[in-house]
Amino acid sequence: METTEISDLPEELLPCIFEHLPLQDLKNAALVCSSWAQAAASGRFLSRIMLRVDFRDGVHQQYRQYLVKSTRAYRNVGFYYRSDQLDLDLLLTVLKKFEESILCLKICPNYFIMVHDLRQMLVQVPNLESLYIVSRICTELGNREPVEPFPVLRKLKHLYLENDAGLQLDEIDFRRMSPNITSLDMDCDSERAHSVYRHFSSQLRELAVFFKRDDFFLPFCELRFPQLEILDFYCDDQQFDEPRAVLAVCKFFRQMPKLRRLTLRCNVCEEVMAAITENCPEMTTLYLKGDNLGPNAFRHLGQLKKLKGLKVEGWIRCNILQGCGPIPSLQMLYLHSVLIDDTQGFFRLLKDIAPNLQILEAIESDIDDECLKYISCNINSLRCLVLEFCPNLTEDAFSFLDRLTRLYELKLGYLDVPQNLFELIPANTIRRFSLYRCDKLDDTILPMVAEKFPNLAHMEIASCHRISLDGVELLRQLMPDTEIESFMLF
Amino acid sequence: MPCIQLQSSDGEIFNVEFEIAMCSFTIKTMMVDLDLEDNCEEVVPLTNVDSNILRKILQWANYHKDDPEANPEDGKPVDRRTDNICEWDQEFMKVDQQTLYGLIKAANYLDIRGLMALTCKTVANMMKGKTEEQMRKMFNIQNDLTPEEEQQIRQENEWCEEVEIVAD
Repeated sequence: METTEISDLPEELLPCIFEHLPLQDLKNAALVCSSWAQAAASGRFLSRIMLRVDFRDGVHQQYRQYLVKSTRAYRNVGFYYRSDQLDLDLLLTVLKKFEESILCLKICPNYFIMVHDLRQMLVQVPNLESLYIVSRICTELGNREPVEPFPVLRKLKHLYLENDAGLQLDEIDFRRMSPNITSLDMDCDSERAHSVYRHFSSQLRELAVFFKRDDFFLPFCELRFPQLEILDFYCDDQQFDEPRAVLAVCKFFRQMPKLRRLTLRCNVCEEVMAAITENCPEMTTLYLKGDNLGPNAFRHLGQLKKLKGLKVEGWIRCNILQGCGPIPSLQMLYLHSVLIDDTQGFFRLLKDIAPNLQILEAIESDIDDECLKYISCNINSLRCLVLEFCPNLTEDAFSFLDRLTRLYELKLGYLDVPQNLFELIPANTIRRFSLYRCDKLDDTILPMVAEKFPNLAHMEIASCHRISLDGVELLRQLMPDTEIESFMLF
Repeated sequence: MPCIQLQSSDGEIFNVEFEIAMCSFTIKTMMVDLDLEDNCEEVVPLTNVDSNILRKILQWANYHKDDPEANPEDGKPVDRRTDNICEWDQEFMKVDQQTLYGLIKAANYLDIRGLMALTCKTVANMMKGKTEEQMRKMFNIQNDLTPEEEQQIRQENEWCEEVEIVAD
């Protein structure tokens, strides 16, 4: 059979095309005709979508009508409502409608949820895999009727509780309700929370923990998580300073052989760094605060043979890269809110340590002209450069940009660079370019963009207050082959 | 260089270097199943691919023969980007819609992953940034949705947002 129209394609191929569309285009495609509507509502796309049922502005009759008529089997549903105006009946209707298909449920009342309302919701979703309870859980004051037992959710893998919502209530026992949990995200500031963590410690693969108080910090560090792959660890800086804590934390990391992504939102000292580099060989992504890192902190970083991404924030007071061997696997370096006392020295060492660095992101950093020139001339492997809120950068900094012959993407945000920036930028290989909140630039630079970035496939301009929509329209005419997106322009 | 013979649906026979034909997992499997690996005399019939399309495909496969083999990307998020098409491929994709759909169908049948991604991305690029009406015009499609159905989709669309995926 001749295939002359897109409608002649076998229907299973349409989703293969839709797969490459951003959500807005997918939504438009769903409106084209009935077979496209059907293709756009197939399971692989509904996995990408969260149905947001939001009636914080009041309950409208239309919610009920449209939701009841829906033919899409939604997988992810989020409820946003005012606690004092809970239309439980509506939410239960929605859950009942999609019950078996629902894999992820987010419950986000503005203030609290009553324990029996929560129970009624969970009874409707036997296949739930992810549950987010973003509020407090309350019991009826005064005359308390006993609440029936909560259902057991055998498929539940991921649980997020705001603070440690509900753990103090006898009705809710996640140890019984969700025996197969592998991912847990909550605070650890109570005996109950600690015992829940202890209960699941041998099976957790993913864990985010927040300590608001000191009480359970050391007891938590005594727990062992042998299956853990992803860890986000948040605590106050002083909790980490005591020698006793340092010892406990070091011990904690010695028993996590599968860890591959680690965020430590607290001061990290050299001993802890050494414990991590020596004991976590699977590590690919490491996010750290730099304030307490000493000159030898990264000396053993090269032991992490799989390290791909490194993020450092805070004040780097010494050249932390000193003594670090090459890390050929390192592709991404993010410097966020970073003050580096010796920027030049830092990047000189970086050049040899990360010979395959592809992405460099400096956000709110003190990187200056000399430094960017050095990077342009020396870190030739770069494919993506993101510079946001770097007050020390002037227009001069960009004059060697063409030396980065592999550079594919450039993002500039919150930069105080003047108009003549584009006179100084040499023509180059960049194919994706974005400008965000660069308020000194106006429409007159846009023709220059077309001249200096002749190969652009994609350009994004957002919230640049002196660039107008008319200017962007003109740019579209100048660069007909470039996909140009603009946001928040007037 | 060892060759195999591929026959298009309209009967034309193409002598193809073994290595190039292997970009198609369908042909690869066929060779193993039919035990043709050492037998170059046999003609492999491709009943779903005509000679025009097969010629284009072989041209593409020849250019890409040294590309690293696409590994089965299980569990990896789909590469949704469409701006990472190399210049040669962009030139190659300058064809009419009929050829383009012919290539998608054949790439799917022959299971050539790189070509499948390229052709699908190319069509997706034709959809991007367009309203539903512009899409209908571009692809010559009649709207068969009732106003109620259209309103239903529009309303549901408004409530849909992207699920955040954290990549490594």
